[in-house]
Parts: sequence; C-alpha cells; structure tokens
Amino acid sequence: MNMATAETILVVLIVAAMTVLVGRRMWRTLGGKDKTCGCCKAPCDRQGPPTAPPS
Amino acid sequence: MSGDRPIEEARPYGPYGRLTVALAGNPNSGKTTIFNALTGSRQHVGNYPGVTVEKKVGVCRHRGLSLDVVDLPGTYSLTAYSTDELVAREFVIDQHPQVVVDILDASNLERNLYLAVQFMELGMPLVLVLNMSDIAAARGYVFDLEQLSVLLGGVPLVRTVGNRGEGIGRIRDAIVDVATGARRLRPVPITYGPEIDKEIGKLAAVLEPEADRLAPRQVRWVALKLLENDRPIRERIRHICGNAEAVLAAADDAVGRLRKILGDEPEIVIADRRYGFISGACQETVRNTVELRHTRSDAIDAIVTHPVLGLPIFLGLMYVVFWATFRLGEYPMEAIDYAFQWLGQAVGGLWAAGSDSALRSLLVHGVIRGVGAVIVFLPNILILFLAIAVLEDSGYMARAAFIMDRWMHKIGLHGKSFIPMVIGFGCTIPAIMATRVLASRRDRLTTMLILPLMSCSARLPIYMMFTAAFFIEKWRGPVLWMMYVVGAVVAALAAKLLKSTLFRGEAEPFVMELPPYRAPTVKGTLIHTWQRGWMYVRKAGTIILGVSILLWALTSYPKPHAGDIEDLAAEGQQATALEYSVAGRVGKAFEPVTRPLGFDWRVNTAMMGAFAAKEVFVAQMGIVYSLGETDEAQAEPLQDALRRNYTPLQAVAIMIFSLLGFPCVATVAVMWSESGSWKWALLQWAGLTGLAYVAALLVYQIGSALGLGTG
Repeated sequence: MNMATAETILVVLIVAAMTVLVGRRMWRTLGGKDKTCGCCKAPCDRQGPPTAPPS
Repeated sequence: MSGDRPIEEARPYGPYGRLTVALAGNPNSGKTTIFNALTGSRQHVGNYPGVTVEKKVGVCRHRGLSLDVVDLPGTYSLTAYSTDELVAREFVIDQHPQVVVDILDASNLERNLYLAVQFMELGMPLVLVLNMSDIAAARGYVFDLEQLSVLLGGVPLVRTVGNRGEGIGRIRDAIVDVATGARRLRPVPITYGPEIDKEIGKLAAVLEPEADRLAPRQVRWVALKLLENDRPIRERIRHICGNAEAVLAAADDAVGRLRKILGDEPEIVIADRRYGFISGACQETVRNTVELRHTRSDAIDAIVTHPVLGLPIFLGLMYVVFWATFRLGEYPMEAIDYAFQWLGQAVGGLWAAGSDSALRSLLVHGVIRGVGAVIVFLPNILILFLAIAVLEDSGYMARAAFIMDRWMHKIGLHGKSFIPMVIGFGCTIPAIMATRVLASRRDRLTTMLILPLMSCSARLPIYMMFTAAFFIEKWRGPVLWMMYVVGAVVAALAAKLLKSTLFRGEAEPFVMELPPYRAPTVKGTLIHTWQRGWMYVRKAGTIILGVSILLWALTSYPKPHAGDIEDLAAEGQQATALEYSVAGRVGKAFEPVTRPLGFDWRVNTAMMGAFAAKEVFVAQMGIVYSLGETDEAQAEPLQDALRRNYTPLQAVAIMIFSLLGFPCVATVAVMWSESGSWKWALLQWAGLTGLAYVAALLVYQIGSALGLGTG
C-alpha cells in the first residue's frame, strides 16, 4: 500500500468518525438527551429572580 | 400552632458517614459563594437574584464526616410560586437532608428570616448563616446572636463574609453539631392566631390517616399549606391520598370559614403572622446604630435607574462594551489569524508543493482554516464576557432589568423577562431555561419565542467577520452595537405582536429586587471570563471541528473528471471543482431562493452548517475560500476574499439573516423540551427564519434600488 492510499484511507476514517460523532450529537440533542448547547456542557443553570413572598 | 412539633431528631448518617446538607436562602443572599467556599467548587456567582436554578452538589469532609452539600435555587418562601422555588421545596421535603443551612443576607434580616421560619414550621434541623455581615455592620446593624438563637429555638447562628471566606469553618462545625445531635433544637412556638391554629388542628386530624404517605412530620405543615391554598400540595394530595376529596373539601371549608372570620385570604394573614413573629424577634435582637437613610447604592441608583437617564445610560454602557470588544480585540485577533496562517503553511509544507493529498487538504483547509476562522474571535469573546461579568457582579444588571421593566410592560411583559433576555446575549439555551421563573405560561412562551432574537455569542464571530471586512474602523463598534439593538427591537415588536394576538392577557405584578452594589472581585471576574472563553475553545475543538471536517468533505467531493476541467485556468478549475461538490450542488440548488437576498451558494452552505452551531458559518466560509485558493503560499486572508466576492450590502443582508433567523439545533431541542411541544419549537424556527428572510430581502432589495453599499 503506497502513501497516497494510506492517506486516503485515513481521511475516509476521520470523516466517517466525525459523521458518527456529529450525527450522534445532533440525535441526542434533538432527542432531548443532551440539553447542552455545546458551548456550556451543563450549566444551563441561570435564572432570573423568583417572585417575592406575599406581603 | 404549627411550631410546637418536635424538631426532627438527628437522622442516622448515610453509608460511610455521609450527610446530606441542603443550602437554601433568598436569591442573592450569597448561597453559591458559600457553597463554593464550603466545597471548593467554582460555580457561577452573580450579583443578581436567581443565578442558581437547578440544584448542584459538592462534597466536603469535616470532623470525620463527609458532607454532600446541595446548593438549591434561591427562594423567598416555601410557597411555590415558580419552578425554581418548587425545586428547592421538593428537595427539602422529599430528599430529607440531615441539615438545612439557610443563608441570610444579614443586612436584610427580616425579609430573609421569612424562609427560615418556614423551615422551622417544617421541623427541619436548621443552621442559620448571617452572610454579608460586613455590609450589615457597615450599615450600622448590631446583632444579639445569642438571644436571637434562643428566640429561634436554639438554632445555631453563624456570622460570615462569604466572599472573603470568613466563618466557613464555623458553618461546618454547626452542621456537624446539629446533625450529630450535639446541638439540640427546640420547637419554635409560632402562632397564627386562635382561628387559624384551630383550623390547622382540625385539618391535621383529617390528614392523620394519611400520615404514613405524607411522612408523619409533614402532617401539620401540609395542613398549613392547604390553608394557604398551595396548588402543588393540593395536587400531591390528589395523587397520594386515598381520601383526597374529603381532605380537600375540609380544606376548602376551612379556608371559607377563615375568609369570613378574618375578612381576608388566610394565606395573607398567615404571611402577616410570620412577619409579625420575625419582626418581634428582630425588635429584641437587632439594633441599628447608624441612621443611614441614603446609602451609596441609593445614590448610584438615583442616577442609573433615573426614569429619563436610565435607558440612555444602559444603551451607552452597552455601546462602550461593544466598542471595546472590537477595538481591544483587534490586535490579539490579528496575531491569532497570523498564527493560523503560519500553521496552515507549515503543515501544508510537509507535503511536496502542489500535492493533491486528501489528508493535506483536510488538515490545512478543513481543520486549520475552518477551526482557525472561529478561534480567531476568541479575544473578542473574552472581552465581551469580561465586560458582562463586571456589569453582572457589580449589581448593575439587576438595575438594567429594573430600567427595562417599564419598557417591558409596554410590550406586555415585565422586567422578569428581561433577565432571560440578557442571558440570551451569552447563549439562547440557558436563556430559554431561565424563563422557568415566569409563573404565567403566556409570558413564558412569549419570552421563549423571542429569545433567539437576542444575539448569542455564537453569532458574534459572524458579525465580527463581516464588520471587519466591510466597514471602516470607526464604524465597526457602532455597527456591532446596532446588530444587538436591532435584535432587541425586533424581539420587542415580536413580543408585542404575540401578546396582542396569541397570548393576550395582563402582565403579572412583580417586585424587582435591587441588590447593593459590590465591587467585583478580580478572581471572580476572571473565573467567569475564563469559563466562557474555555467553553468557546472547547466548542471549537469538538462540535465545530467535527462539522468543519464534514463540511470540508462535502465541499471537496466528488471531484470533477480531470478531463472536464483541464482546459480551464487554475482559478476556473478550483471554482468548477467547488461547484461540482455536494455542498456546491446543494448550495446552488438553493440559489434561486436566496439570490434575492444577495446570497450565493457558498453563503447557503455556510448557513446550513450553522444549524449545528452558529460559529460553523464562519468556519465554512474559511473552508470554502481556502479550498478555492490557487496559490497556497500566498494564502489570501478571509476578509480580503470576502471583500472581493461580496458587497457591503450583501454583508449586511447576511448579518441580518444570521441575527434573526435559523435558530441552531440545540435551541430547537430545548424549545421543544421546555415548551413541552414540537409545535412551538417548529413555529419558532419557521417563524424566525421567515422573518429573517423577509428582513434580509427588504434590506438587500431596497439597498440595491437605492444604490447603498453596492460598490
């Protein structure tokens, strides 16, 4: 196997791996299993102020 | 009396000497700071109410015990008015923490004790922490903690200054003392008046047969909640009680009787009695030595929340933030761009000149130029979030919400919707989740639907790329600022439209708290900025890298037969190859639809890639122009390529489309889960994309007709 063939196989493998990884990520996101936006892994944790107590 | 129940006995530790400790308190009382100090975590801390929405867990060891500390969202009371209050309450009721640590803002003790009293009603083993005691002392408050502890049933009271780490050891001691029974707590006699106390007793008797299901210690508390007409508790009764109808009927009768006797809603009278108890306890134990009618915070607020000056000051501050984002970010941005160009040439140089190696192309054009085009904007992201962190931590953002409250009312929402909108400048996902605080579903859906119009940080690279390429230096800051303002104005108009059609109804009343101003700490500000910068880099190294490689493959293959293009010049060969690829064909297929907007097939493919993550737009433009280069040794900067291929008017149309339309996949997914329906997610996506199409069409066509920015 010459160098060019080896490189082509490597490229095919990388692209295939990325297809699986990106596809899985999109699937998980749309399926609601991954509620992160990619920029923050978990901290969808910020909110505004809650209502005040009755007075 | 509900306070005459025994305090829950110290419960056995979990396996391996583990204790569960719930950290509760009013919003902005410094819970997360104390949580971080106790556990050594680095959770986000902000000087505005409501930073914590979901519970977080950290662990620390003390005197041979392992403490699982759970940071709960801030709540004013245990009467669940919004989702975050419910999260906190349900944790305390259902998870049975061994100790509840209630963090109190010492400078605002009476209001903060309201929640503490409710924990006492529940019979929870309690530790009270008087945080920010330095601010309280500066305001002249003097506490007789020993006497206050006696009045509150022997509850340990710990004085702390959370941001300086003072008193943290004493909190750990108090937790272990309470949990191990070394410190015994007495029940606190809180009376709600003879009528209410009598009805509590009667309802408790009706609930008694269900004691096993309710947990015995909760019977009287549930009775009290039923008199307060607590909806989640009524729902719970319906689900778990065999005689639910009888219990609820008895509760309704009791409420009716009390309403007649008291002349008011029982829940209001109960709240008044709690405040009465607190007021009495504070009268005896809290003294103010200084008459501080006009604090420094008040003096600043007189200017920044001024009815006339407030809005211009807010807009001016935002302008300065965007100007700095551009101006200060320019030099590091150029350095990073140069570094990626050098890296591309170095990696490309590993192969012989003119090599058509697929691996070389993937590395140089797909990875380095694709990801590089995104990373180049890291300094701007850091500067923007440094500025926002300073505004947040100082307490100004809460003022911004206050100023906007009046304007939000005009569009049918209130200041509470403004906090998610500010969060939306960072990322739409947490912003959508932040709408959970809105009790009205109408207000919540309206806010969620308009949130993608607030420009998230992922869109910043798109604006930066086109603004830097097509506008002279003095106009770059204003153009960037305008993009954000246009987004906010369109969001306001969309909200007005939604509130006057789909979601008609009055906005709910809302009390906006204004925390005191605090000087942001260097460490805290740098941590926030670093976290945001690291998220950006991580995103570039994961999802953007993956999508860039896929887009490279789609833009590179299939290749045309050599014989078909051999007669063309080098530039023509590259252009034909690009158009022959999958991306080229798909992009071309959409050209009839997008040409009226001034988009070509390259922009079309970048827009499609941006559905995965907005930054991919920039990555794909980097890839497509990198693949189109004929002389790699003289690689043309992306901005030059853009200037050669597009007009300023096209750039504006592309920016407008990116601003208004095409929410990313994560936004669609979270919108679906938070609204509970695909209908709203799809409506949002289609509605915003349609709006973006019309807006970009108008901008491009009117601009072309007037000859603006076409040269």
